Amino acid sequence: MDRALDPDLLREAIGNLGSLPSVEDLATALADAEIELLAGRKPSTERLLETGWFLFGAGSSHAALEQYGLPRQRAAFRVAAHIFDIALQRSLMDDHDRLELCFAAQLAALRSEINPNATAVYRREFPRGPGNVGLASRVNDLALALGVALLATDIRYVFDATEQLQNELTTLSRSWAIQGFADTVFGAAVDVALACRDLSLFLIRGEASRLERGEQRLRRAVQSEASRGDIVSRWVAAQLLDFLDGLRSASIWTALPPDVPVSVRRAFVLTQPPIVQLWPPQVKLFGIGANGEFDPFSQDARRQLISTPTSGGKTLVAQMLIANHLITTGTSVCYVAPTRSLCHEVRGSLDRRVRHIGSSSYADLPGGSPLDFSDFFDVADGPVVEVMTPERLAHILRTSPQELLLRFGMFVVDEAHNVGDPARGWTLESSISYIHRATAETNHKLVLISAAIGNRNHFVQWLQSGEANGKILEFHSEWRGPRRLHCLWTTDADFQQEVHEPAHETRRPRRRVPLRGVLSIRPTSTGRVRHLSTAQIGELILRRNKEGRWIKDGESTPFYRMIIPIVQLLMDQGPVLVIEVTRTEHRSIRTGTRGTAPT
Amino acid sequence: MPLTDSFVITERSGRTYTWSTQLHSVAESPIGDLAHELADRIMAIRCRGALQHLASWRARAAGGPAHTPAITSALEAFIEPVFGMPGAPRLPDHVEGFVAQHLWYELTSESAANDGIVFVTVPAFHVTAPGGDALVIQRLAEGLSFRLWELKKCTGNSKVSGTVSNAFSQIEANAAKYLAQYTATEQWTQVPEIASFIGTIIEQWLAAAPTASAGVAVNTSLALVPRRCFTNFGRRFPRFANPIRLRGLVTAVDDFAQFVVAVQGAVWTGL
Repeated sequence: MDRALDPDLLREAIGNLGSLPSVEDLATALADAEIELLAGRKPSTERLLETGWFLFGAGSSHAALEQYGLPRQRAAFRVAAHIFDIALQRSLMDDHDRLELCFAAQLAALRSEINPNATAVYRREFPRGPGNVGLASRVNDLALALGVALLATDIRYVFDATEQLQNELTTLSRSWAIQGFADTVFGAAVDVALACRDLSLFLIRGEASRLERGEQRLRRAVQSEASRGDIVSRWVAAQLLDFLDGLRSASIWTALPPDVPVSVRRAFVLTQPPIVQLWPPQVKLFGIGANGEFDPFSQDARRQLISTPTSGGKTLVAQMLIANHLITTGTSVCYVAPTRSLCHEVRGSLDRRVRHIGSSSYADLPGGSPLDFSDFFDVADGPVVEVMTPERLAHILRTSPQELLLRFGMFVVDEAHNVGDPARGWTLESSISYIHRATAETNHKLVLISAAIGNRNHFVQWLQSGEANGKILEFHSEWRGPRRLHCLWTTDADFQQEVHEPAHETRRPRRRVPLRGVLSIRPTSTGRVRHLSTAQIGELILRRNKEGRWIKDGESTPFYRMIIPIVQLLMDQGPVLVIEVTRTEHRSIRTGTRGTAPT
Repeated sequence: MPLTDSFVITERSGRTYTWSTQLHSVAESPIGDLAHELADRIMAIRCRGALQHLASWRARAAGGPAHTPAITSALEAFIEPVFGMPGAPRLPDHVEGFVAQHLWYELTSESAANDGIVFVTVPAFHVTAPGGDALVIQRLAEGLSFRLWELKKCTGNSKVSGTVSNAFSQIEANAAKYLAQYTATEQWTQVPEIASFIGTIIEQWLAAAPTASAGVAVNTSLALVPRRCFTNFGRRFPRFANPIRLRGLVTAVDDFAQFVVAVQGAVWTGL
């Protein structure tokens, strides 16, 4: 949201398209609609939707691309993607309209390089897939259903639906006594559906012939004379054709350097969750080699500093570097993560990948007893990935430094900015420094990853010092996938409605003040702050103490309980992560019942 | 037989728009003949790529022998989605809309050469299929121009004025989506000049360029043809208000609902 409401982006998108709303009006309308949705209401989006379609059309125009260039096209698609996303959440619509708008939203997201939204929109709108489609039923939806599934890389749906379709086509071609469907009125719909299958096979197997066949089918569909009246299927074909370069270049089979083994690619394509498409910063990083630099998979890339914002896809980058290292060098990988819970999380996601290539990963063992190196690893095994905390790494470095360097050929340090942590930073920094110095003349790789390195130049200088050729691979991207909306949730005491309780025997006088929830939202960095308030969600109880002052009483509603309404509200939009300090608070949030939504 | 020969065309003009009536003349062709001709053309479009079925349909419609079950089954796939089958017809409202689109398409295509029309979209396979009703590109003295058409039918107790008003609203609400879909799709057409022109129709529409126009066509019964029509066209589309750019069309046969039933019956005779 922060980006889509950026005035410069809106200005770029609207360009010289006359009669569209002004930048200010569009930003206001988008912000209002987002806030209405957040409040659980259904905003009116007709005018917004009209603007979205105009921008989508302008983005789709080959002539406009030639005249105004790629930045304008991306801006138009990005704003359109945002509008369609809002519109999808707003209204009740039939399956066809939902498919159509979902496809447009996904396409616009992909063509404006906010790839994760294409999958997120699909999962929200069609959590169980778009349902059965075919010639006998829902032929109008056939191309759209396959299109939305392809764009969300729901490969399972594409395979299942097209398998059923192929059976139907076989039966029908016999009974209709025709050779094929391409020249019939169903030609465009059938060709689009089967092209989606071809493209999915390309994504899974990397077969260029499938990509070519898919392209041929799409071209035939959009130019089909017999099904010229099937504007929807031909529209899907046209959009997929225009997106084909993006699909090809972001494929794991194309984006990774050619010398990355097939088994590495398969480890990501064939394991859950399957990765068949990479995000823009990943494509850029892995494509560095094409510019004459060494790529991150190269043996020469001995020192790497990779920084992207949270949700920028750096975990996947690390996984791919690790998988490649395990296969191509035969030495193990040491992955350093700041906390034990994160170690387990990293291990969980790594394990599926590395097991596919015949390796294993181990998470940090519970602390307590002093263990030596052989307690951690069965050194007779093949290369593995060991995930550990900085403290564990430091311990091993103190006790068995040589074994550690013999064992591991690659060190990946996640959240490397933690070297600046006042409490634990020194431990991490000294370990990295030791490894960096001790492996200055060896082939060991040291990869530092972070979401938030403010002083990248210092890191670069650090890694360059003592490095034989002084070359390090430094990659930074500001790309961020999901939209962000920053809000503050507070309570507001309504003293107008307070109730006084006089003293009674030993009980001191009290004032009961209703508390309302207040959600403060600033949709843009420059826009005004909007406030949503709830009905009463708690009570502030003030008690007069012996000195005659009013103090907060322990019977007041604890704040963690008053978080429940906002959590419930946000849960309507998707999963919510709540971080609480104590188990009691945690339990309270979990068991919280539905409360009052902001109005 | 050209369908246009069966209609008497009268041009009328308003201050901000023009409109015309195309009234069927029984003297030129009986309504049954018109229904059969339209049914044949609809089947020719629907059976593209399966011409043997079109031939079978025509033979049967001309009084030939009954089909084998396999051929009947195949023809059903082309006919049922729109017309339904004898004993189980589709909703009249849908069938009427479908026939209205085809009648407009055929009449427009026949006069294409005279009107400088170089591109016209084909009716959808399903009458309930979404998407714009029609896009027409014309070559005028000044160059290419386009018109976005909304096609309607008016039967029963409805009034043409109400139907026209609904059509205006639909253009206002959906022009953006229709034009976006036409832009993406038709710019792949293999005629470079047309492809290039279609890539600019969004900009032309938003800028209300002289090359962007709107049209509303209503298919109805002779008794419902109004003396005045489309009078609000200029007010609803002030940026396009110009007699050349806002165009109305009323096409009428004796009883449009009965005519549609006749077309449906003519289609079924080929089963």
